[in-house]
Amino acid sequence: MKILGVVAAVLLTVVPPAFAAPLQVDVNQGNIQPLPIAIPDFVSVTPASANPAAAAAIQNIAKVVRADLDRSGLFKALDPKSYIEQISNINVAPNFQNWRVINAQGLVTGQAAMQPDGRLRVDFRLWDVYGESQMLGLQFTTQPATWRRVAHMISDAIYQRITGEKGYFDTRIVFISESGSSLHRQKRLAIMDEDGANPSFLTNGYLVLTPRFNPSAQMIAYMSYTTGKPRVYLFDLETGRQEKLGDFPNMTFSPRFSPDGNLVAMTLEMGGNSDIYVMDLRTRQTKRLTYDPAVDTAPSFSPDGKHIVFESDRGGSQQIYIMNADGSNPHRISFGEGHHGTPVWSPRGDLIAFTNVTSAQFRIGVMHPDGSGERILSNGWQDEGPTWAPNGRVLMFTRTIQGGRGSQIWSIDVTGRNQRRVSTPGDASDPAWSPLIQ
Amino acid sequence: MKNRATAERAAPRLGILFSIVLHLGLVVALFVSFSKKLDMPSETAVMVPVDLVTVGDENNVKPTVKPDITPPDVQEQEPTPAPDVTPPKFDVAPDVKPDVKPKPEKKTDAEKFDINDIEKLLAKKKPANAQVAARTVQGVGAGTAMTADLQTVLASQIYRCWSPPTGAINAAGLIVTYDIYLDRGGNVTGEPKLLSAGAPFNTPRDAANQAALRAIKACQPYKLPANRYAEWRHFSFNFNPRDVVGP
Repeated sequence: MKILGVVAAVLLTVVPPAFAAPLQVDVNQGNIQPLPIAIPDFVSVTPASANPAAAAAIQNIAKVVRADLDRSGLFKALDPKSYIEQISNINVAPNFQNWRVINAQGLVTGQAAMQPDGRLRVDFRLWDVYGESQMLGLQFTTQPATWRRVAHMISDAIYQRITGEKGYFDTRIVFISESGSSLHRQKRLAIMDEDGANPSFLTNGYLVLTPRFNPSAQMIAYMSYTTGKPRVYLFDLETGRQEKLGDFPNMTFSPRFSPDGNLVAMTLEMGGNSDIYVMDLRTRQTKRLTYDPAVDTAPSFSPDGKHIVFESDRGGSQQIYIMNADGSNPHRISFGEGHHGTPVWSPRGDLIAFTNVTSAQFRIGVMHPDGSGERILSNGWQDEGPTWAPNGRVLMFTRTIQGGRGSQIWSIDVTGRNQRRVSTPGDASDPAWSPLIQ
Repeated sequence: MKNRATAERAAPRLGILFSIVLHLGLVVALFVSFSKKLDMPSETAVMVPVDLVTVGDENNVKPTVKPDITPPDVQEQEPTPAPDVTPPKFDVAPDVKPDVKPKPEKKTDAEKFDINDIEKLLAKKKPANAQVAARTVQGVGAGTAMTADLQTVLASQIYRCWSPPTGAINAAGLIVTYDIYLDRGGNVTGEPKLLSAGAPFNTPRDAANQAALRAIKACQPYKLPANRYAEWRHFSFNFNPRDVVGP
């Protein structure tokens, strides 16, 4: 042992201190800012004279991508007027120095051409300007009329490559379009692309509320006063067919699909008591989940379908509870200041969004499913009814203008940044965000 | 003859004994010399507290010594690099030893401890650099004040280029470390080597790695003292987004 000790001591003395690790610099401060990205107009391989409509669409693809990425708050689409290099061939590496000069960190080049079969082919590449390498290259083929979807899919691909999370641009929003005076308010079910394009009405004339997409984004559950009493209906976007969900004697409202699309949880009012039920769309069998004499409503499934979050005043005030999907083990999770309602489970499962009411002020917040980490995100006059983007990091909600002068749809990042109004044709409320279009 | 034979038989034993004694002596001598050597205050053992260099405009320690210190503007970093890296730490030297000056406090017992004026007493006792000490970072590399001030200079230059991904699950835990070599002009040579975890494309971890790499490249050339190239030629950036991305 002594000899070993001696050897160790000798080694310790002989090894020079030059073996020390190199300088380590801890970087604990950063500068959160959108990524500057240059997206020149796509090169049109098809002469404009040959197909003016297609040429116009091609010209607009980059514009839509720029608007998508800019709107996310995570990118800053640089003004095309600042570009000093013109892209004429996307198969040749760009001169990166020309893009570094304008402080671009990302560069998107693309081209589009009409195919002999009448379809539009769009290619694009995403370049790392400082790394001088291609990060992504994809090709899409589509009907020319759906060029906007291709633009959104390009935006989603860029978003995912840079942020590591799926995008949400190729999605749709269903909402309640409001028009008319306050005495004769007309509320119609409407739908539009995530960027506000292609708005259209789905229903006409009757009061409708709380629309919700199913997981395939092809069906909408909503509440309507079509027959005088509020009832939950299903709307098939493909066929336009509407169907009353169940034949209950009293009103049903606040529907929400399960993650697999087979179940609809909703509230059924009977004898002045509201409880949560779940209906199996395959068998049309209904099962009651809550039995409390208080008002239980606004159910929302966890992404794995094993739990349901809902609101209840069983404790004396409107608060958020979680139960198992079979109704067992209900327990309260919201203990922050004020009332909490309209809970919605994030698609990625880590957060529950809600409406917080404190001192008559309605705001949007999030908390973890165990009730911890409650954060208030929005700061409008009256914000309520959150809905999640399919990637679980952006929320939309209804904002009532101060004094009740109309309502708008707003969005906000889950970090609390990038609060902005969503473009809608006229007043709008009660948005529901679709999953990514299949 | 008998005595001679006995002496001849005893000779090898004496030799062995002598050899053992010599070896033992050698071992003892080695222990004594080495233990003395190990007891000597080695240079690496002297960790210079980070508060010596917190006068830098921005560093990995929140500068709480002077609350009005604000992160540097980009323009402020532009002027000639030499003045930036000349030892600014001595400006705060008086603050580092606050306990030495307030001798007058010990004049009377009443001033030492007055239950009716405990707030004043606590204020007097508060060390000027207490908050800095809580965030002290152990010396790395040579562990000297020299390398500590280079750390500060490098961190203050790269922070403005680093925008880590926010909003992802566990975004605050996506720590990224890159090993870097610089040329004498302060430009990155070769491709920085990722020392922390890699990840497939389209994942938050990969996004964090890419964001750090973009920052390293976008912020070059780094402005560093040319006469100390050997010290900053090779180093690693350890990006910790905990205080940047929020909850």
